[in-house]
Amino acid sequence: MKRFVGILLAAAALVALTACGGGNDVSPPVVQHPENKAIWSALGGDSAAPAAVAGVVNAAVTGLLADPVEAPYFAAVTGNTSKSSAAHDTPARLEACLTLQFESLLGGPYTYPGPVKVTGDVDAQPEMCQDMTTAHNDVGVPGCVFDQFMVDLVATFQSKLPAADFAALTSTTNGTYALTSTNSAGIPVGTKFQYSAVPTLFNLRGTITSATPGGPLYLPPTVATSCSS
Amino acid sequence: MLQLAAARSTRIMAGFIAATCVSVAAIGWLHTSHGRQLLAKLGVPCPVDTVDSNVVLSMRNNAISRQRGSIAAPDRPALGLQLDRSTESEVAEQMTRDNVHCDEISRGFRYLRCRGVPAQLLRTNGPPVSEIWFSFKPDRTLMAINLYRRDMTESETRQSWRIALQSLRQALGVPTAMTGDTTLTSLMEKPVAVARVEYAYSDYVATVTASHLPYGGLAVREQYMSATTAH
Repeated sequence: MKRFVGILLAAAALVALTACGGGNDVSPPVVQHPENKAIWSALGGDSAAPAAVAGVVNAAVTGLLADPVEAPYFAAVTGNTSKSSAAHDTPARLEACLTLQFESLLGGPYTYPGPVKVTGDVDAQPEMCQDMTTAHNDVGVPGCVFDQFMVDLVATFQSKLPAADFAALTSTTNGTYALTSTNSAGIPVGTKFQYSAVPTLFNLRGTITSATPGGPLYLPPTVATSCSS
Repeated sequence: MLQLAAARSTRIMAGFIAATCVSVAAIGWLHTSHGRQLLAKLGVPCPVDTVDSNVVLSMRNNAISRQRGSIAAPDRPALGLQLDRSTESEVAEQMTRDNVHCDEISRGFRYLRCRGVPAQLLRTNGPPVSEIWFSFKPDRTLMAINLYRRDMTESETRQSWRIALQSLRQALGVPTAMTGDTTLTSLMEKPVAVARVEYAYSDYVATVTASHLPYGGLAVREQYMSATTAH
């Protein structure tokens, strides 16, 4: 027991000393999706890509919040409007976290989830984004709302990015990265994309809509159950 | 003595871990559809069902003010209804009269949602409508119409797209913005593609979006929205 306490104290001292000595160190940026680095470079690299991604996310979030059918799902996470560090938060934090996620997904030197600066935050501390399961597990996003967000997001990407970049992003030529999430309509599961961004995004669907297991079953337009609530 | 204390600590630790696991499993299950049904029966609503209408209205006002244009629309087509004027009861009466079954929904705003509707019953043409949502402001006047057709064949998609665009073009002329291949040719060929036509005015935004994505297949959405900021 005494030996255990001794080891614990020694480890704590080591950690404390490391912390003292490392105060000015800056961790090297981690590229979470190095397979998409070519996309990041095409968007302008570290100097221009962050602004391009932020612009796309801003336009997509604006479209979402302007739509009265989709907006309430984002109002459901805005319980605390005075400080952005609460678990359920503001559109500004949503936008900041989405921007970080896309910066990471598109091959930038970022990792999601991670810390972000939130517009209008009352303190100077960065806020930590939540992982996708935690962020959505009590929002109850139906599959149809997730899909609508994807449509708006793709439309925004398509309108804001140079045509060649968008074509590369959605290319299946010599594809390596597959759609794995189950779907009942549209692009078949197993379709392989050249870059991982698109399949990674769509494969999140099961996580985000886990509150509705299996998601909605899309059926022909005449069937009333074409999208679960 | 020490052994006894260690055994007791192990039991306490094991109990704590077991309790944590059971709690996590229970919380997880409560987020499934079955769990949510149980919570609903117990009177615990889904968060989105109890959204404050003022919060969602403020968010929506802010967003639509960034999306709208600068000049007033010459007309505000909305499937024969009047944005900011037609009331929830008038729309409900019209749907009932036209034999369209709709559900009343409240999620911050109030809605009428109708599914699997023949287009003619909505006074338009083309393939049947998967869903149509009528959204109402807090004063119960019509704020927006969202019309969805999903998982269509290529010809149904082209027909839906053409009818929606023709109708807007007749009323409003040339769109204020277009995105993607509006002939839909590449939409059919590409794995992820969207075509969009938008009319954005200071008091009205109409958007027609055709999409080909992993979920929903070939789909067309029509949005007719008031762009006036409601209070």
